[in-house]
Amino acid sequence: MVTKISNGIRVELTAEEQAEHDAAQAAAQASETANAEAKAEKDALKASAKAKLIAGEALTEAEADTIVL
Amino acid sequence: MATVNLGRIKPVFRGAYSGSTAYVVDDIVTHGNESYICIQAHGAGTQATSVTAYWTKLAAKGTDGTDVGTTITTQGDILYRDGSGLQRLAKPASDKFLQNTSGGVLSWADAGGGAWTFLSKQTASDNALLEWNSDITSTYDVYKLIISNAHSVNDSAHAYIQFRQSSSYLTGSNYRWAAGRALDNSTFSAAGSTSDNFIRITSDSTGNATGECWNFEITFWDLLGTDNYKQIHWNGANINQDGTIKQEVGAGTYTGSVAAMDGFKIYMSSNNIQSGQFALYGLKQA
Repeated sequence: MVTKISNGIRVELTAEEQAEHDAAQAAAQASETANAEAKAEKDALKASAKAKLIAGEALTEAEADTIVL
Repeated sequence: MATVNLGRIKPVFRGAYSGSTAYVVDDIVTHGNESYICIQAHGAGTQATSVTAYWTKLAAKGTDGTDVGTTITTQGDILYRDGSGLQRLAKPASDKFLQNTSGGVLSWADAGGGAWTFLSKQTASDNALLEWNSDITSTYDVYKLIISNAHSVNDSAHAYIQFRQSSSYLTGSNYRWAAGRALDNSTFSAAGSTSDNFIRITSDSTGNATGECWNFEITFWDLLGTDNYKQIHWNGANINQDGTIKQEVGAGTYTGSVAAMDGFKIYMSSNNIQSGQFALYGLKQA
């Protein structure tokens, strides 16, 4: 049984509320996945930029963006 | 022996005036809660008590009074005078104060502004979401939600807030939020979104191991305004799935409409809110 606390009262979610909640969590998961992918991409660019700086190689604009404020 | 007619030697009370009765001098009647004495005899129905050639008022009635016992009926009622007489000011709900206008009109008012008022507390117990709407009224301008010792069922979960408008939650991607976190490894990082379906209040995810919990205070600004994108901001402490303690700060808004909000809910990105105390306070600005 999936419940919510509504204004202090514990009640079971209706089918409609359950669907809405599932959709909200699905949207949350999608957002988190997108955020994680964006962060991973940025981290990779940052690592690449660091390696190229150490090696004295030219950075791409995307790599430079990760280290220039 | 000769008989001398002296006439009446005392008045005669005749009861309530009747239009079908003849009266003679010194008859006394009642009419309209007043009493009259006949000063000139007349036939039945010919002269009402208002005709001063036939009747003289003996006793005029006073101004009608108020039956206090039937006017104030409930413990806590107050009796006061308005423009027409004594009136009942019915007892109010709790925590009200008496206020007046310069014209002398009395009414009950909320407590003066400037102090946070406790409204309600909800205790999570493995719930999908917690919601507030009945506490969101025009009585208060600003609300603060104090979340203490909240635990998530899942590890690496985030906490979200959605607004409610006209009894429906706003699920479109019109939320924007910005958050920052200072970590115990002396670093600081930021996160945000310009088009989300919610406001994420935990910039980093929450942990669910023993002792890992999150504590927040979230301020909701002018939810009932009609010319403003509703905003919240927060400050909190959060131990994430790695055991890292973070200070969380942030702000969020809904930009899809300036219409009033009538509630909000908090939920996790996955599974439920395991436990925690969620206390709501209201502030009436002075």
